[in-house]
Amino acid sequence: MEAFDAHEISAVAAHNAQDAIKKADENTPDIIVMELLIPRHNGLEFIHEFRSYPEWLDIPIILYSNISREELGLEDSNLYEMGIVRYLYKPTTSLENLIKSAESSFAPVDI
Amino acid sequence: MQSHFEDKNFAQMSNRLLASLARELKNPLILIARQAELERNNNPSPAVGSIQRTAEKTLQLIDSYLLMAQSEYGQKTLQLETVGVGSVIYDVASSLRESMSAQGAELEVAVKDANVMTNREGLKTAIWCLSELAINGEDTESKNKIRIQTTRNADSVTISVLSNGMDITSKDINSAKTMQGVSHLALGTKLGDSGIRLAIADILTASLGCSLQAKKKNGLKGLGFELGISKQLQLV
Repeated sequence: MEAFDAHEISAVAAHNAQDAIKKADENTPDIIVMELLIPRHNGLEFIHEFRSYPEWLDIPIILYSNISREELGLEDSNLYEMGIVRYLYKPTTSLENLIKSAESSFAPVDI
Repeated sequence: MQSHFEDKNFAQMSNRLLASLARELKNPLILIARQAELERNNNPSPAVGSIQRTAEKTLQLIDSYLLMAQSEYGQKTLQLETVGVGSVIYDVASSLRESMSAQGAELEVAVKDANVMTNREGLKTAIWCLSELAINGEDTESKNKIRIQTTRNADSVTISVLSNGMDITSKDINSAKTMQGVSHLALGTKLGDSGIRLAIADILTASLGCSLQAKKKNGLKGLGFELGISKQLQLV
């Protein structure tokens, strides 16, 4: 959160799947950065649920996870279908690179 | 007393448990690394940098272990994909530059790119292990120089990590192969660590279908391995 604040990106933290849905409902995010290993839920199932809401279909998701791409075992096409724009492996991704990825992934705003 | 588990089941269970434990160990280390990174913005002290690098190195070691476990300690080939050798080497070099600089070591990269069918993570981790061996090599009075290079042959590419502080022989490589928690003690004094990185590199190169060999060039010594090149994969 501190890293996002330092780059003037307003960030809201959610601590589990229900909290994330609630907060997204209160204030639609421009982008979601999430871990796959979330308490009491399967991260991929959360993404499917999130995408089931039409108004949230186009919100880009960045996975910032402790699970490596290899462990996850999903193809690029699978990630693309879920609207995952970046897959960042937490142990080797610095906060600076996370922020840069987030900044470059914001969905274009309708004018 | 009758055992409830056969030896093989017990070995599989304990391997799975160790892998789960290894994954759990990553969580606090990631927190330390990222908090240290944040702190460096406010307090760029060498100590904080050292904390971040140490946490990141430990994470890499844990990932190395998980990869080894995935390959069943070299018995199984890791999943193959098309990999540009150059991009992997530059990736490793970029992750090592800061710690090399902090330890007063100099890194040189000499790459002739080639596309190979291998496992990217396995390749990257093997090169990382060899580079760490080179950084932590025997003390030298002169600056520690490390060179990661590729040598193209007709149908293969040899990747070598060489330094002026490393003198690992074929005998040492064979000792690492027989590591049962005992022979690493003999390697420890020579390599500056327990020899675990040598063992990991050996296992990972085996899982890539290669074997680790002692190398030397222009006064530098080290280790390398050879990967076959698929002609169809080369860029036109």
